[in-house]
Amino acid sequence: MDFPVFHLDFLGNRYLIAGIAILHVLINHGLAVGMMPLIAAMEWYGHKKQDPRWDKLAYKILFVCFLITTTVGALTGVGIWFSVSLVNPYSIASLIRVFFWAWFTEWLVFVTEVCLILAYTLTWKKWTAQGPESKKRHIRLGFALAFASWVTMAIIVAILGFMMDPGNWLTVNSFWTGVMNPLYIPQLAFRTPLAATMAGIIAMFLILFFTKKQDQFRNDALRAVGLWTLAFAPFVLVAGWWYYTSVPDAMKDNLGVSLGTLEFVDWQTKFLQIAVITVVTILLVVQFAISRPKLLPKVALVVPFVAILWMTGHFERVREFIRKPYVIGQYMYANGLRVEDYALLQRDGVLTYATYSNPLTEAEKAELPNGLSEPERTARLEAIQKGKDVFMNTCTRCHTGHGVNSITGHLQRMFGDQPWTPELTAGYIESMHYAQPYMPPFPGNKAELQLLGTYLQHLQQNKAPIPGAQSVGVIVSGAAAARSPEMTNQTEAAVQ
Amino acid sequence: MLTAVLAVAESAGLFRAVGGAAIGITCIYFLFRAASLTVRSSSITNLYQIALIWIPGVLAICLALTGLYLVTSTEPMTLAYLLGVILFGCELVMLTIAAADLEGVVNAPITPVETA
Repeated sequence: MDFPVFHLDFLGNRYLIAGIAILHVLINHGLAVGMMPLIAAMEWYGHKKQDPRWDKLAYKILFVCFLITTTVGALTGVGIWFSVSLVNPYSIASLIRVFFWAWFTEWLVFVTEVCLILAYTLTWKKWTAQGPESKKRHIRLGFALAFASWVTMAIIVAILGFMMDPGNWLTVNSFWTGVMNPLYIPQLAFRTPLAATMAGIIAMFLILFFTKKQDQFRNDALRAVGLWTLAFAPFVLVAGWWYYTSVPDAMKDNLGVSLGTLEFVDWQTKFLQIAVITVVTILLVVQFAISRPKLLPKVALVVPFVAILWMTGHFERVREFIRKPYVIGQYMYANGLRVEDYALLQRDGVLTYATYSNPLTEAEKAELPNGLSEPERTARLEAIQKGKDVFMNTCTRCHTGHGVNSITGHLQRMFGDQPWTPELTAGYIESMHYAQPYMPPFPGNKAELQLLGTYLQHLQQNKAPIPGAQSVGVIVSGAAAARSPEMTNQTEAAVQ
Repeated sequence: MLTAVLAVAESAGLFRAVGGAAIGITCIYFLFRAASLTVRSSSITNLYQIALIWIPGVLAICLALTGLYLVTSTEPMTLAYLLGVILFGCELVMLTIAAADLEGVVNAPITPVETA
């Protein structure tokens, strides 16, 4: 509550992060971590066999990866941290405190990786022309790039595992206890072959564009890359099982909701069936590519290509969701409030510690009940304003007012068109954590629960978008905020 | 055709016996051919070529057995059953192709398996 609340009322904050993060993972795993060793291996094989066709193919695939990873890949990589800093600065601040040196190291490795991919791509033709010694040096450069790509992933996976289950770090707050969290090694063991398999499928797809149909080399290349894919596939299954069995049972209970939405809890079984069918389809196509590459049409490789992107995207979505109600397991709830602060907040109220208030726009002030006197109207607006502040501070990390995953949508589904009285909604919110364990407990006090209920009642009538601080600014709470640095400053300063 | 007949029969025991026997025969045929080729060309093949001989067939055996397991352990005409039938049928074909491909190479004069 020390930061103004960034909020997207149509798309929702979590979709902003999810969109950027999933795109980045697809690029990072498929085109960098998995693809760089494959390209280096192709270059090495071509050099060993003195077959320039392998060299040309490897360069063409590298060029595609180079273009995408250094533009969209790099932007989304940085974009993840920008977006999470905006949406949940408290969680990222906690992670930085624990993983400062890990992040710093990752930054150094990332810069190295960028330099290596620039050097690897831009020196390819020149070093190839300079003779075998330069070529060997260039191949070593390729494997070094592959290693750097993997190290960046290995460091970040430690942080991702920590967010799911910090393990002993909760009692021993040391850096290495945080790094060696219970899910780190299983998750890394899963992502590494997954990246290699993804790269294999993407490479097979690209081979069809970079070789001619009648060319025997197309068959050889498809066979070799198909074998690469099949060689890593069993490790994906084995490590996937290891990873799944390492996930705490409380998180597995969220699996049904994480795969779809609240309305599709029963979709879990169907999704798992679709996932199995997808894996089988991928295996069949790759097998066919090895056995009868000449008969393989381009469209057949679109299936595993799309399927693996879909599967990985869903895996990331599930990973993000099942750790709820926490954003950092057992340490910080998804609303950005620490577990250990809850007792204080529930006694004093969240507004007591809120530095900023989120002003109502004129559109948000509309749709008040008819027949209110001016004092009643003022009192009503004041209650709505405070209710909105509670909503913004405790709900908007995940929920919108009227957009995707909207709180009004959930209330409409539960209570229909009957009036959403504060008693009705507050009664539900007070106990929702016990009915739906993926929801954090309400962090405020009883009075704030009623204020939130009043605001939700207002939202039933008022459909105006709820702007974030980035659109309408904030009002410094002044003396009302116990932790305000300037306790004597009674003036409200609009910040924009 | 065999798979279709077994699937329509909806008898887990029959599928297990006949399907298992079909996999067994094809499997022995493949393993014999693959082992023979590996031994005959051991001095002139590399790891990649050995992988090319073994991996397609071994994977097909594993997936065919998975298909057989799905068929015999689930209720007829459920999604898992149908998936098992398709998997069993396709992988039996893939296993036969893998073994037949090796036969041509085994009967040929000893030359390295041309891969790239």
